[in-house]
Amino acid sequence: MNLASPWALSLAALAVPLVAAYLYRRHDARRTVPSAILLRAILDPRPPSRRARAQLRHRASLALIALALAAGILALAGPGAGSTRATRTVIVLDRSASMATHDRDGERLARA
Amino acid sequence: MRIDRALFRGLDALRVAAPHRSTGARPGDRRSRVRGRGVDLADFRPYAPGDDLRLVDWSAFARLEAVLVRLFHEDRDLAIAVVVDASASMGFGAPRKLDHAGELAACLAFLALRSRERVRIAIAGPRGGSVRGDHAGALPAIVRALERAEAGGTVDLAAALAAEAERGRADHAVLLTDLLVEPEVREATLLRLAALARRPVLLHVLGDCELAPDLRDGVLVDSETGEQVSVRDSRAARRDYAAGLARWCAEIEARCGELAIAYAPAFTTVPARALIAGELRRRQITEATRGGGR
Repeated sequence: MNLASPWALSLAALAVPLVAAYLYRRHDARRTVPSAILLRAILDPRPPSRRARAQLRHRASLALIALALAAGILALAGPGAGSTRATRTVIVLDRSASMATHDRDGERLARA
Repeated sequence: MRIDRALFRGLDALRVAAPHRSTGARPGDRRSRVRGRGVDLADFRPYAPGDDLRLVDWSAFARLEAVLVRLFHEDRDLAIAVVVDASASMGFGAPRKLDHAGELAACLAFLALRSRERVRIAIAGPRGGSVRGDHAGALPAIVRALERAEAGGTVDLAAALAAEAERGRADHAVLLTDLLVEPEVREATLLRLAALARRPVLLHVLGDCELAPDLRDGVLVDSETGEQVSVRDSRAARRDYAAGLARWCAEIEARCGELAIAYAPAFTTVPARALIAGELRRRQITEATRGGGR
């Protein structure tokens, strides 16, 4: 297999900040606060089972985004079956009347 | 912390309000329950051997043929006790809550000493201590003690108030704290404050760290107890926090009302001098001196 645009593979580096952002969110940065008493008003009221499901959803979303990124990069890279395959090129000539015009360098159609 | 002496500028026309009659033992400017020598007539009573003849009301004797002596309201001084919470939670905020509380305590000391009243300042914390004064010359020592205060650890405010009660009688007791303690500890603190003086005052010191906290995703660790709370930043979390904060403040104010404690929010968002001349005056914790203020 060959690639039409191998440079596209360098876009895989985009996965690094993506995964880092997800891991940072999961890692939970610790900060010291005066007191936790007022924060109890916003404690996560969900039971542990629901919190576990939320974590699973979080990881699944990371996997889906990574998959979409990989598919995009692959499409941009343009993978091919082999190196010997002929390339079709279409050449279109304009044969309208204006092409019969003679310029300083000769007839336009002849030059085309 | 450095307390700028310019802080006291503009506070000359104010003093600590005293809705109750003083129980002080020394002569002063506050009306007391004691009847004796003074300016304002309070009552008459029959003459008894040993009474000062200068107090006999001779015009009453001429009309009634009874020997009566005049009794006057005696003016006595006030004793004011100020307790500053210097627990770890007071070391947060910009400006720091402890610095703000120190400035408020210094302003109250200034008002008291200018009116020739006695003031005691107790700092409940790791570098705590107590300092007292009864004349204007004592102010620098009080300010230096407040400047040296450092926040740290946990503080048993009820015990600090009990210790303050043992230091002597007080007409006013002012507690400066964020009151970020468990409900049962809060209740014990308020009960102790209510019992400390005839005029207990709670100045509730909260800072930007409580009024507009950083609720980004993470684990928030209590500076005093180490308790951990995991938060997820969301609009709902911010709404719930704001509602919880308002409910918590309202609970404290209501409980203070039940215990006859004068409550005033003393948030760091308003400078100390503005609080003394504004919110505290509206809540009759400070007042204009006779002929002063507006």
